[in-house]
Amino acid sequence: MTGRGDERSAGEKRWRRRSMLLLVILLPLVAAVTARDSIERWWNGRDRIVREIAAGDQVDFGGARWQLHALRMAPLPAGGNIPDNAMGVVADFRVQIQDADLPGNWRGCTIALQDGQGRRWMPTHVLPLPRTDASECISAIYSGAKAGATLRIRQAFLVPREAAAALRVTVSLARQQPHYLRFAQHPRLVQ
Amino acid sequence: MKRRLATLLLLAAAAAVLFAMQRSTPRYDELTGPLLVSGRMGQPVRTRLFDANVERVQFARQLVYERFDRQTVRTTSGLWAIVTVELSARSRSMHVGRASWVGPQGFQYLLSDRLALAPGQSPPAIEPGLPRRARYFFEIRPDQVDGAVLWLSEHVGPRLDSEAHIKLDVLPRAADGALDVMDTFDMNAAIKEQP
Repeated sequence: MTGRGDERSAGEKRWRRRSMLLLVILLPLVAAVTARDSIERWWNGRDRIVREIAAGDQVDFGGARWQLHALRMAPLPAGGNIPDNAMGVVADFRVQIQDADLPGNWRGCTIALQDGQGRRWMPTHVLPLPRTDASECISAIYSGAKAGATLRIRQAFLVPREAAAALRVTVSLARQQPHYLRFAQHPRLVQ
Repeated sequence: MKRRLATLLLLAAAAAVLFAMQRSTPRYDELTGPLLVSGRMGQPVRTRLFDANVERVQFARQLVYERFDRQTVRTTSGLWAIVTVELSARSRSMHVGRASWVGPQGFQYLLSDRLALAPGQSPPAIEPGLPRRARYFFEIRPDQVDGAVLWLSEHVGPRLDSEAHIKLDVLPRAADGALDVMDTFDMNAAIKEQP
């Protein structure tokens, strides 16, 4: 009687050990499998891999050929929505369309300025810019531009004066992430 | 008999523990809710995305603003509370779009939508390295003044992101200690003086 009881408890102990070991392996495995999609989307949905573009160069990106035509800056007087110590920066692109599916290719189009510490300035609408045929990246998506056409894309930014001269423009498109463009050109001061 | 009783007791204890655990489990909303960063007036409060410093709280019985060459007066049966905050973005451009005045009894007042057409009422856009002033307007009950807290965040109900809770503890007082309430606050004039 005692012998059989010992045997059973030894078997139980062995299985309990195996189950605990399996639990340690299986739990993280299940968590990894269920979270894989979200982790993948998070990891690839960020601007992670930079493509450096030399000044004046053209680059094929998201079904179009991008060129940073001009990057200008000017100090702004404070008042209204313009804070003290602000510099206005305007980025002008010439973009030749190769694939006319702009709603697909340019989804999530973001043009931003970046400094060496990783700070990012997004486009602003508070600068009074003269009217031209240039449009913003997101509104150009619905311009109906055909393949072969050249679009003028213009974005304005509000940045601190001391940081302005060292800033660089980045372009990112949802379909191209984690890849994004960074142009070497720095802003040129105009009055 | 004794063993059975012990087993039953053990089962009952396990059921009680499970019940207590079920009852005390935080809801998903609470688990993924805002991360609070508390502070008080006159001190910079640093959240993940922005810094906020409440400079001033004012009260008025009516607000006046001009739009399309017409003067509009907004009266209230309570009080207009005007909170001036210095805001600065930390790592990227953003809007501090959500502000609420939370009274001592927990009454929560959102930004007044009666000022939808008034000047300067779009959510303040802030840029890294460029601190700017913003004014938030609330229409509150007079008994919600003392012990109030200002809540600030980028969006409504931030998830796993910080929300500033700033105690509004320096209120304008007259010499006799009564609350100093202006008759009229001119919103256009206030915008001209604020960079």
